[in-house]
Amino acid sequence: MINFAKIWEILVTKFPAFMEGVEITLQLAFFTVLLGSLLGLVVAICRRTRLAPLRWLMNIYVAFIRGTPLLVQVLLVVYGLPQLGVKLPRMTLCIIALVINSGAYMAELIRAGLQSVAKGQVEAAESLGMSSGQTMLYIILPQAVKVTLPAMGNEFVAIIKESSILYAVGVYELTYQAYKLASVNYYYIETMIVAALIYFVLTYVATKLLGLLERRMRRADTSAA
Amino acid sequence: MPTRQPLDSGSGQEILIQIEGLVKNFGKLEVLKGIDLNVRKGDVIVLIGPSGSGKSTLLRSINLLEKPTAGKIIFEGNDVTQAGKKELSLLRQRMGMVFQQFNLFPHLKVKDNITVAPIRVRNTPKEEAEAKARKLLERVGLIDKWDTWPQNLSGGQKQRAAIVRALAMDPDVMLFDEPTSALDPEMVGEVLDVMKNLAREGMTMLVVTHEMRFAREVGDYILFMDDGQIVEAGTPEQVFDHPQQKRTQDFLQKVL
Amino acid sequence: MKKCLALVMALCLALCASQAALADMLSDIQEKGTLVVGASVGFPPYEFYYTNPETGEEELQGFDMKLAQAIADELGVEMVLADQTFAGLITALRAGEIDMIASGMAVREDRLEVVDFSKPYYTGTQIMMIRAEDAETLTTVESMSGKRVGAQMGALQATILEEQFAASEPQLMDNISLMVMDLLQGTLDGVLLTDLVAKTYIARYPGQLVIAEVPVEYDNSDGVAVAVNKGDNAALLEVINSVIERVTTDGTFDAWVDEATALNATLLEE
Repeated sequence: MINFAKIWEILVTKFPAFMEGVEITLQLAFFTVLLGSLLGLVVAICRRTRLAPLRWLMNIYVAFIRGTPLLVQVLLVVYGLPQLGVKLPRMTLCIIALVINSGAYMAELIRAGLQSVAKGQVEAAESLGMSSGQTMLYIILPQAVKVTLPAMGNEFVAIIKESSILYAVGVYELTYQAYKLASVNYYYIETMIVAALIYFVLTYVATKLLGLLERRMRRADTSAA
Repeated sequence: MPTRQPLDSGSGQEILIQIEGLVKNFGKLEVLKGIDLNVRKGDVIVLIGPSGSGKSTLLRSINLLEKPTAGKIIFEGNDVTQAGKKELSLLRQRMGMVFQQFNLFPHLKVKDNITVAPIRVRNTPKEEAEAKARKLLERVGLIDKWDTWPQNLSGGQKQRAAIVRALAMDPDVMLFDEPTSALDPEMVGEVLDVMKNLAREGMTMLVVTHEMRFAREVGDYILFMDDGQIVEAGTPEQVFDHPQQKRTQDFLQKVL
Repeated sequence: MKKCLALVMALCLALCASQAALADMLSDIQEKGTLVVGASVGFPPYEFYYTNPETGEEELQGFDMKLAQAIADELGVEMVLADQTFAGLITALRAGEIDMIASGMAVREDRLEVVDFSKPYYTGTQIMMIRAEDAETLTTVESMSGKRVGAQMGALQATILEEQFAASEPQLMDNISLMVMDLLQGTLDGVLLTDLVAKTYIARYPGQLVIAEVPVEYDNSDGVAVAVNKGDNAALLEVINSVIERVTTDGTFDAWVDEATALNATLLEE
């Protein structure tokens, strides 16, 4: 039977441990979205080049990442890179794994964003003498990023949740903290319910804040007359 | 009908653009079937003709927005079709273009729409570029829109801002691709007025338009195009009042 | 998804169990005809999967499993394995999802508060496994201070790590093989293990891993036992204890340990 009083007790008495996990979870999500967007941007642009081998390489990368589970990717990076002589802290390796994963999804989002920019924009830029690099940098990208921003926010929320699998490799994020607690208090379900509640608060607040930001950005567009 | 001798706008001085044997195919479709044309400095050339006649394609080929299948386009002594990336950029900077759909950059305010190319492409100092932009905006009556987003402009204001954007690069020729076709009727006048003033100041202009009154009033030279060819060419009086070709007569009957 | 499903199942079972717990557990098991045994497989030589080279079949091996089978035989029911993470075993038992735990679980005071144990059937020795190159330097508890030490989450070793190696940097994980990989790669400096488990890994990575001289102290009086849910379990415990009594005195259990260790060694040689 679920002990509801226990849920409250666990939340209150173990709050600092959970908050430690929340901090790590948010760090993971923040760095992953930040670096993942940059990687996704580079990949998305590479997929538009005339250099066919580069394009293929990027397509293979995106297809591979999208076609394999995150946990497998994490294990490959966290235990594979050190075997190749890359000695980095566990947390860094995990962020690398998440960034590699997120980059592939971001690349798709950004590609859609780039495609959403009207052809006339490129023509207008070219008719002014802009090079393709300048056109990308000053005309297409700013518009594409704006279109992509809400999706990037969703990715942030998604990573808050998905980073939970890092408990398997011993990263002290929220799920790990809950799991560790449950392994000694034997209130497995109650502890996981606390974790679930905290996750929900995190994603709910993040979604609301991002929605607010998005609305404010849209208003800035139309009220500047 | 295509002529061996290139058509020559004739009234101006030196030749600014020299088009020879220009052919453009979209797949199997022949859109331009060998155009020869000389454009002299200071002339206003108006291209008229039914839709699908190739007039927009001809205009867009001049600054290589469309890559010609064959032929030469010599602009100020350089063949545009053979230009490398750097050279093409330089050539395009001297050819301003105005689009039917304005194509203002929606993420930039009016002032930045106008100054982005001078600053980024030509490395003009910001103050200098802005001073020039202000002067140009004042001329088209839009100085109060300096700090406005393009989305908050009317169609006519958008197109005037787009003309200013092109002028900010000090072009030697202006290409207008149906500049009033997307406008509500009451806004056509304000854009045509700006174009008239430009013509009066001696700007070399190529204009694709359906505004026949404008063509007659402002054009030095009218080209009637149909089916990828220049069918008839001459002064407004020659083409509008005494069309020689049956196709020209049919077309004019429909639009006038 | 799996986690979610397990949660839902656990909830359902928890509700059912509250009813079933009223009945005597022994007759309950005999009535349904199955003994559901909870274990965290992948813990050689206690319990592990072994691919028989002759038949190519995957077999469940290990002395915990032999004991569980013997108990099921004694009860005259079929043994069903419920393989899950070690840390979740007690919760599953309390939810009525499984009938007993045979998973190298050491009797501990905190565990006694929530479950009942049989008499111990095995006393393992807890050790600290380190890289061979550190054998000279890591010899005392003090020498481990500031070092990263791994232990299985929820296991006896986790308690030892917390209590005895408080100055070390703890890394609790679920999966022992990942911890061993971390040790080999230098992410961890030591892993607390049962000696039998350590020996299988040392056999797998000869010259790279050793058992440290670091003394590992723990209350060894109780050893490893079978856990059952609290409640009307006297009859069930009686059967389990009688089986344990029999196999530990007539040499059967020692033979199981030897067999499991030998099988695991061949597994690691491949």
